[in-house]
Amino acid sequence: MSQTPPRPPSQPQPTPLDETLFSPSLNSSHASGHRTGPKPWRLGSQIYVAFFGGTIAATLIALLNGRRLGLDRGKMLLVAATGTAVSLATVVLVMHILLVGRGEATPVLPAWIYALEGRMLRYAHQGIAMLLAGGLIAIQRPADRLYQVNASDDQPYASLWLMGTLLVFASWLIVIGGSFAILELFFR
Amino acid sequence: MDALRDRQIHMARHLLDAGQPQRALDALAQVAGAAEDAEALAIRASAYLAMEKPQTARESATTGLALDPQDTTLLAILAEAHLAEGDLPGAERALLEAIRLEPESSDLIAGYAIVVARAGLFDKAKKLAARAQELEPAARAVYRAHFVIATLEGRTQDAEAISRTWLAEHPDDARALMTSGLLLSSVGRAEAGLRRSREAVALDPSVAEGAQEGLLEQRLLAHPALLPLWPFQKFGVGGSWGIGIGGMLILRALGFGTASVVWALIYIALCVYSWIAPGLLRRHLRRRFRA
Repeated sequence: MSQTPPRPPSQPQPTPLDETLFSPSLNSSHASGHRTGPKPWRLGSQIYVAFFGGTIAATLIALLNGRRLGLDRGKMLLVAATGTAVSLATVVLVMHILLVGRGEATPVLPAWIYALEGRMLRYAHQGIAMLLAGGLIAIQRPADRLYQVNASDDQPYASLWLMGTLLVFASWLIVIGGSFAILELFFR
Repeated sequence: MDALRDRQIHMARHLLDAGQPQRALDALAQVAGAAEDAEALAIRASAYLAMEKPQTARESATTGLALDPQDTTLLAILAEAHLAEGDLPGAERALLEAIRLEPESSDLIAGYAIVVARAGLFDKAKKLAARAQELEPAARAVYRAHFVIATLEGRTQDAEAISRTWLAEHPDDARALMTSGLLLSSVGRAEAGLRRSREAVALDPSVAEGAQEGLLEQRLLAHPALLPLWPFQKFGVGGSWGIGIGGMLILRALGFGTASVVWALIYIALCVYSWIAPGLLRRHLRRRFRA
């Protein structure tokens, strides 16, 4: 979305005076350095969680952080929808690759994708997760910028070590459980 | 008696402007009846703001306003104190009252634009900045408001352009130098940014107040101990991950297995260093800053 650049200060253009400009528009729900809830995490650190935990971990950490940053409902839904869509697309893609490998589906994607296997498939998933994290970070960035400028704390961000590790393990469990379920359902 | 009081007040203001808020407070302590003098209370509140004691600053400004409720300087200081405490609605209330008393003040309207921008209401902030600009096109406060709005909206290039115009218009404006210095640092030009901020502090030591965190980050980014982390600063976490992992995969795909391992080891070592060194250095610099 293109932003309108500010008018050069040397060329002011008269505009009709909008009286609502000088009526109060802020309340306690607006960005404040006195947040009582837990501190958010640094946006960049979410990349680590995505790398080690994949798309599910990337989505979960973005949702948790979005709540801490006070993202509005629309943006939270966007984070959830993007993360879910990419995670589901990854599952569908992997299933498709496996089915094509077994000769039970027709290849519709470039040949090199079907050549991915084992470690390379995992790298591809990590790559997708990192790209997803990049997108989810972009959604959170405006709120993070406001949080940063209004934070009055010396250490405005929380450490991601514990929560990040927990989410990585949780998403592995989900992936392993899901893989078993898919194998049982589709490949038996 | 009045002449003596005026001299003492003048001295306190001079010390405050010279970036010596504690000495300004000491000078105010000599003024007879300073606790019942709105002007003295305004200097006192500003000094506490400079010393990062917004609560005391707010109390002084409120006491001053009890004596003179129509003092717009005190209202502006009260707004700054609220802002420093993170109370945006409080800052809005104080500034709206000041604007009601002085509706043609571009400084007050530009200040209100910044408060509204900090709450994320960018459309209203831009309209307010435009209104301030109509009243006084080349005012420093107007440039500052446009700069802050562009920065908070993430329009870094616009912010850079505004800071360039601001500096061209007011080359001796220490605040313009400081803001453009902080911006340069934030876009990966740490040394140039630090140089510009130093020029700003040399020009007017008081601009360092309220920019302590930014200055600390600047010092951190330009510190020689963080030189190995230059790619991280330049390309950001995502970009450096791309270079690290991408380089490893490309080397592996081209058949340079050993080079790929060496690349990975260097990259992991840099990652570990980036987790440890900035935190330790930040703590060290913060201690030195406070001292």
